[in-house]
Amino acid sequence: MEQAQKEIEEALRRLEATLPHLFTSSRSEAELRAENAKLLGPEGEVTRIFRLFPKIEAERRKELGKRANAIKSAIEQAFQQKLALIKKAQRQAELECPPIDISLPGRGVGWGSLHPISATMAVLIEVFESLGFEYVEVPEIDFAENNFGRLAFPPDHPAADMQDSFFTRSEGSGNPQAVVLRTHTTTVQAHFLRSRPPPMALVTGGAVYRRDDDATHSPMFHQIDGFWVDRDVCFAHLHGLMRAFVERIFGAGVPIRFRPSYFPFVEPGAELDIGCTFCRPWERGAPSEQCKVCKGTGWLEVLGCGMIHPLVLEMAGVSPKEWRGIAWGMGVDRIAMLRYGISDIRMLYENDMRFLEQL
Amino acid sequence: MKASCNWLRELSRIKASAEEIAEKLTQAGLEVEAIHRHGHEIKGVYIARVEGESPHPEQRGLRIVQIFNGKERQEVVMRSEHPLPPNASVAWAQPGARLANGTEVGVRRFGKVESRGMILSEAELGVSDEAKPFVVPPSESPPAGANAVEALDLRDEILDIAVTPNRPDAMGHLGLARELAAIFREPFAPRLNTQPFGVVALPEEIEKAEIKRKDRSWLLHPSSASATTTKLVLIQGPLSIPIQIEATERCSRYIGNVVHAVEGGPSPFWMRYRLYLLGQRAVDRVVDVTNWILFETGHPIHAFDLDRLAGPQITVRLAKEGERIVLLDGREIALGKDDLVIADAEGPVALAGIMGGKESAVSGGTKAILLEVAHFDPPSIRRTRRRHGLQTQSSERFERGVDAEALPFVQRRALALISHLGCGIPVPFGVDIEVRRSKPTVIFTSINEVRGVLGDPSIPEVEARRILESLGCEMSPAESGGWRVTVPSHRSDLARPEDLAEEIARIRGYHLIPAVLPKIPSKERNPRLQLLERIRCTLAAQGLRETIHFAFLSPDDLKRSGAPKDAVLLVNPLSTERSVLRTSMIPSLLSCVQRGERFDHPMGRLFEIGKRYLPAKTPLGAIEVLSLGIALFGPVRDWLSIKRHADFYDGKWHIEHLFRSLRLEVEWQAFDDTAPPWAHPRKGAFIQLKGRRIGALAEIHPDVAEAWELSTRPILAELELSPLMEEALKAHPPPIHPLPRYPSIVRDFAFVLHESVSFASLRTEIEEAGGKLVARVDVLDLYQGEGIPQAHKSMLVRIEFRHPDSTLTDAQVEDLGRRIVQRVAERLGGTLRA
Ligand SMILES: [Zn+2]
Repeated sequence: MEQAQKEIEEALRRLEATLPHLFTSSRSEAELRAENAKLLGPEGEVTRIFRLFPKIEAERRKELGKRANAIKSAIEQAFQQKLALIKKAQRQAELECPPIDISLPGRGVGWGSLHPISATMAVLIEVFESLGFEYVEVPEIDFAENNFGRLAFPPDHPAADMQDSFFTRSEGSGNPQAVVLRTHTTTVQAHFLRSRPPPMALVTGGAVYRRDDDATHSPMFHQIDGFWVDRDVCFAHLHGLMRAFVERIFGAGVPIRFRPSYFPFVEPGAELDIGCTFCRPWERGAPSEQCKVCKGTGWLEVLGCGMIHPLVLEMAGVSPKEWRGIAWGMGVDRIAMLRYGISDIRMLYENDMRFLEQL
Repeated sequence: MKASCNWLRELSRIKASAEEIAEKLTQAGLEVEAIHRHGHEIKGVYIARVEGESPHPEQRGLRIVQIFNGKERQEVVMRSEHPLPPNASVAWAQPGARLANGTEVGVRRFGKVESRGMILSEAELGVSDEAKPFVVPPSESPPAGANAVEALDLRDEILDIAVTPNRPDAMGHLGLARELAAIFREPFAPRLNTQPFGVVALPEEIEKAEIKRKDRSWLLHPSSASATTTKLVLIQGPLSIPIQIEATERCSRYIGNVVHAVEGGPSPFWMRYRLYLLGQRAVDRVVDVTNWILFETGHPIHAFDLDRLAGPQITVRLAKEGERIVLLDGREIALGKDDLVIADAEGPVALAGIMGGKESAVSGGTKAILLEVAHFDPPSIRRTRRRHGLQTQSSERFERGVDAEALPFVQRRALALISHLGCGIPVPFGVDIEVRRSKPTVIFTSINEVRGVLGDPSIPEVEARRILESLGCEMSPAESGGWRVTVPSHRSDLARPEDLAEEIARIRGYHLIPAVLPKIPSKERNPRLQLLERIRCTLAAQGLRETIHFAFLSPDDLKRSGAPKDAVLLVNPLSTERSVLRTSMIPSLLSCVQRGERFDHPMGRLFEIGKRYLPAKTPLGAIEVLSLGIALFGPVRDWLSIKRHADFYDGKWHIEHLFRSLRLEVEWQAFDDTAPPWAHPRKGAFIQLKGRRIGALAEIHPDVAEAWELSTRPILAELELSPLMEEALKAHPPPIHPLPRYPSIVRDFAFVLHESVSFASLRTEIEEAGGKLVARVDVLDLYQGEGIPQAHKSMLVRIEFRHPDSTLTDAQVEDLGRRIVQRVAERLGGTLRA
């Protein structure tokens, strides 16, 4: 009993003496916890002291117990304080690491892109869909009759020169001039005016082919064509439709102008110009003399349009007395080139990686 | 079509600037693409008279020319290769003058001699392309000292007009002037002399009736270079040449006039200059007149050298098989049975309406001509000029269709010009064979119809009528009410009420038509289009770049790509490089890879959505197959990971990702012995969808890579999109299961297996052994090499175990692991890696 009491008193004195320097040497959380375990752990010094208490006199127990509890709580407090300090220091260290090189490229699959033509085509078609036109598909390889005859091209007429066509042939096929690669998506009229009863409002788009190859002409290019046949359709509707279209694609305020023009399948026929979207003459008061896009004219030609020629309706079995139509067709490549600032149409079909990676 | 603004102003009497004319014509549908200004730049150039010349005292090859500029004498040094006639009128540029090409003239010293200004060549004055000094013919010369630009009327503006094919009338200045007058609301009354100079007088003893029959007759003609003196000239030669139209379908009318006493030589300056500005080199008076008439009236005419025609008559007929002709430009062509020709007794002398023959062409020695004014069938002209690849000013106009009713006018105008220029004595009564005459077109319409078509109820009837009348239409009331409109013969394009509506809108201005937004009921968006758009965006989001290739390529591209060689051919390709339609997406993509490698860009991730074209026994002879092609080439770009090239599994990710995004499951089927020719037989697989083969993914076949001279081995895929889209449109979102309620336990196993054992078979065995408790099997690593026996591999798999209704104990998992290892050993011969 004497022994235990002495042991406790000694330990308490020793512990009380260490209290001011408690945990000062602990540098990490692990060290701290190890140090702490030496004191408060199951085999720790403080724990051991408490285990000795039953062996001492009851009257001393109270006083020594009070001292021991005070030491225990002081240790715990010191532990918590030190732990907080260490954690803070750790967090500080974590935050003060060398900064990463944010200029290194991101990892992953890299960038993909849509081709300017398909991206532009999608935008254009969506506008017409929102104006009530239904998208339909039309074949690229078609009868010359659908491409020319049913669209009122007079036979052996220079009108066909505007659209010099490729004829196709496969094993065992007959007339070498019967089947063509369509020269325009206007064939949509030849197909659908016959197969559907009016009224109808259709739009289509895709590749077309002409025997032309130079800096401004590609033997393959893309078009969108649309038409609306209903009772009492008139040129004023075409004006309204085109105004809405130009506003949606090129922005509000871009002026438009119709110029009379000739396509065998429309009458009256027109070409639609929009104010040059590069030098924006309507904002500056005049076109820029240096503008390479409009060549100083202030206008850009964007599409051909008109009222469907009564002959086209007649040939499709639609009475022009009862029904009238408006129609329009545009080159997608040119609009894509305007949107992307591409000056050479051939770039669109070379698929050069150095071109594609700019998209 | 090039048009001179001066000419248009003279004919229409509209005094407007070139810009204004261009703007108005463009607004009326005759698009002016460019305005070329001539004579406006020239400053300080005067007419001067040559008074004498002497050789340069020091420098050989130079002369000193004394000129009188109207005020004083000047000395000008010039090169001596072009002698100047004495008293010649020349164009003298004073020091400080500016020339047509923008150069400034100064005072130059040649040795001791100071040259003040210079004597201009034709090119320097901008009146031809020739380097010889410009000399005004004495008869036309303005006085010395006159401003050359004004005195010679050099200022003009040439318009480049894109005349649409429906407007033959606009292919001449007269038609354009008529158009201008209508636009400017002015009456159109051109003042053109159509009276051949003087009257033919015949010796009284010769009966008029007899003349036509007689081969050679005597003829007296009052002729003169100037209008004031008259003398009688005796001519020997035929008064006319019999004409026969055999090909009556191809030629509706032919007027032939004989012109005698033809005198060649240069045309007057005003004619030469205007022809030059219109891009037509001045040749000889007679030829110049035919060109002038073409530009003036839009009606091509032709002159034959009468003495070179083999009598007794000329025939308009179809060529015979085997006939040949040497054309004016020296080309010899073989004629076919569809070619319309003008022939004499010996054979074709002209390709009708396109180009004359060399043999019968007018030359310096021509004494008499036969002047042809005719109308040829447009499609015939078109077919012939296309067949022979000849496009001429003449064919361009006949092809559109010239005004057959205007023939007599054109004939009179041509003869008048010839006689007034003094280059020949025409016999005014020609042979006029008219096979057929078309009735004028009559259109019945009304102001209400016009208003209805245009959607403009406010168009005043008076204005509409005035416009049609100004274009040459005759208006009268129709019995049924409305208008009876007789269309002028020069506007054969007007046939229906809509055509008249366009004329009214065009001349008024399209901008006056109001804008009404159509009210079209909205419809469901096309689901296929939307889906295709989604596929495109998914592929782009996967890091693939979209490409678009030509549909046509060379047969060799198909061959070396291992693509089907049986292709749809182009009958008339631009080149063999683009002569067949592609049967596969592979060659297009390989051309891209090749281009990338050639241009130091050996890395790309590409796709294309487009058509393949396969021959078929359908009326069109072909079917179009909407397809997707993918090509991955070059290294995987990542600055941290192991450097490696794209391989099959990269491609597999793209395909699986695409299918997943469409809520579809891709099925991979081994090639066995049937790989596509472009595919490496061991490094690829067929892509199947619901048991149907729709494409393949593989590394390129080494032979194909070699044929394309590729240094890398791209990963290629080709698949049909339509079946994919059909299924995708039917696909539904997957059912969602509730989250597991009990935790899973994960264990890793490194199996050493023979290299032929697939991951799929390992997974199957694991699943068989573990049953429902195996929730997931993943590959963590695949290793071959040191520590692993030959022809074996180590596959590290991670298995996730989970019981649906309880927490698995360690003991249970240990037991499962043992069963799996045992089964893999039994079935696959696999062992756990030590
Ligand atoms: Zn511009």
